[in-house]
Amino acid sequence: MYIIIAGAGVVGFHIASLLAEEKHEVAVVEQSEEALDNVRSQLDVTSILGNAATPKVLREAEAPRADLIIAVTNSDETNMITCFIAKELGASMTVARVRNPEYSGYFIGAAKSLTAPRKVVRPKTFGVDLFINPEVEAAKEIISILSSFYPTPVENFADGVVQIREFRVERETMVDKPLSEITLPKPCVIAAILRAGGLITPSADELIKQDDHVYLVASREFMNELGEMFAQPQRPAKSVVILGGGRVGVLAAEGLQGHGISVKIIEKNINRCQEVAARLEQTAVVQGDGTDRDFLIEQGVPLADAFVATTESDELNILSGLLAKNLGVSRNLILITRPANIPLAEAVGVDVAASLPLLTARKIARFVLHGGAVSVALLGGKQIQAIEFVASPTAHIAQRKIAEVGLPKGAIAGAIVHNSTVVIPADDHVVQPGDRVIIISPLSVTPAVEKLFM
Amino acid sequence: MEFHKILVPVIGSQADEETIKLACRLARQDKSEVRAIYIITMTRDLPLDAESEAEIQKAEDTLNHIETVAEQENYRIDTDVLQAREAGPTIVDEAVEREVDLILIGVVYKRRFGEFSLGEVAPYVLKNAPCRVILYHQYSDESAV
Repeated sequence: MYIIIAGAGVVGFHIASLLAEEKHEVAVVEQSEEALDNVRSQLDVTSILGNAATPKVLREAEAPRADLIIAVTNSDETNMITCFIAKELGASMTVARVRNPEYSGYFIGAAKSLTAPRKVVRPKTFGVDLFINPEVEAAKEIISILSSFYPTPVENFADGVVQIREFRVERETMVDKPLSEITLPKPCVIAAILRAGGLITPSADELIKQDDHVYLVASREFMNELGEMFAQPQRPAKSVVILGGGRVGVLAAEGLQGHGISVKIIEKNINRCQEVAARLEQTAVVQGDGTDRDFLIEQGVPLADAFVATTESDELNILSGLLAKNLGVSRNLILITRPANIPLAEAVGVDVAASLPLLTARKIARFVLHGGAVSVALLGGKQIQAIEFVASPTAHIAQRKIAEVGLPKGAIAGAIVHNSTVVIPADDHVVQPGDRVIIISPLSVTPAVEKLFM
Repeated sequence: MEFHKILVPVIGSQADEETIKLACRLARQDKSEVRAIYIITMTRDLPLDAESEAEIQKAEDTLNHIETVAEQENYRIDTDVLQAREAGPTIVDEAVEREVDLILIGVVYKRRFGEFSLGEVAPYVLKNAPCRVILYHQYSDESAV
């Protein structure tokens, strides 16, 4: 695929690196010479200096032959105009990052008469195939984690029937046991093990270690029961302290309030405090420094069920998350902007709730796949991905046994949904046309996996 | 028989996939335009221009799926979301306005008062359409009983 990325900020850079790793042809367009130098020195991609929202620069970037344009500059308006012009020039698909929630992308058009049908104007109407709002996605992720029994993220497939969930190994009964000796109470697959930042494709004699992160694939109804084998369930949070009154903090607070959770926001900037307080009537907003231990104790942080750090600084988030952990808060979630900081955060024992570049990458991942992929999730940072395909009657995989389809090295068929029934497939399972197949594989073998479904 | 503009109303039912595949196959020969529409029907207790995020999301999901199916058929289709009080008249209006020459409508097996029923939309379209109509009936185990 030929993909143009407009904007070489943190999000643009990481998407470019991810797509280049998947062997796509990538061009990055950026106005800042400094940001472009950073791209040139680290990535094997084409770089173009200029404003992507102009036809001249887009032509220079060969937009007419682009399969996908991803506009992720800092300006919502620039992103939308870039998509509009690119689409008019002939680009196949366009994605715009739009952070202002006022731009929902939809509005009801005018009608000829009071009773005539109204056209719902969609982003597609003005050339944007997909709006991405990473802040909204991050807030959703935080809410999802805090309202469940485990402090780790979950990925849904096949309309939520199948889940892939990460669990931190806490139960001593599981430690130092080879996988072949572990009997799980319900059908499931251990798709991967994350150990000290590195991903292991599990084999039968692999030993599970304390604090490993295991990725389980199973039917949603069994996931909590399976999770108890590895981790200690916690009660869903009832009181949460959020550090940072930025977009993510406010959106998360709004969502948590909706779940009946009591929320307090700590924000350093007094003007922002006033804005947030005016918007969130049921939330206590206090002005202060999130790294001040005495202040956090004074604000009742040790009594909270969860602490969520959502400032724009990774370092501040990691530090305050660590401080909250030290004060006895059992659930500490933080927002990370630079994916390279995730291992550091996890090494000090803080749970990463969301990483904006990875959330953005996840949203667009489906568009860069062939073979009828319907959803994608990146697991273990960005080391492996789970892709859900619908097997078409003409696909290579259809009517064949799993053992005979020729799955590339490192790839496994995690689950198959046949007529709404979840099957954890054995080697002799035959894939039927129309089945939803969830494949877990390293990024490098994605093209080979796609071929199975073409 | 030539069709230049084909209109396919979709509702997120089991019949959608096969209906759109059939439309793409019919359209390929004459390089016809295929337009799939999803109609959000607003109940009378709400204004006609009220925005329902959940309904729009459902429409978008249905049309995304339909586009994927068309892509698998190697055919490019247009999609639209309309908001109206009733689906039948809206389909007919759309066919008139866009000078459509075929409406391809899919139905699934339904029972009403113990009897097989086509519902209200398909009969209205069959009766009032200004063009040819093909009705695609999705086979199911229930319909074979």
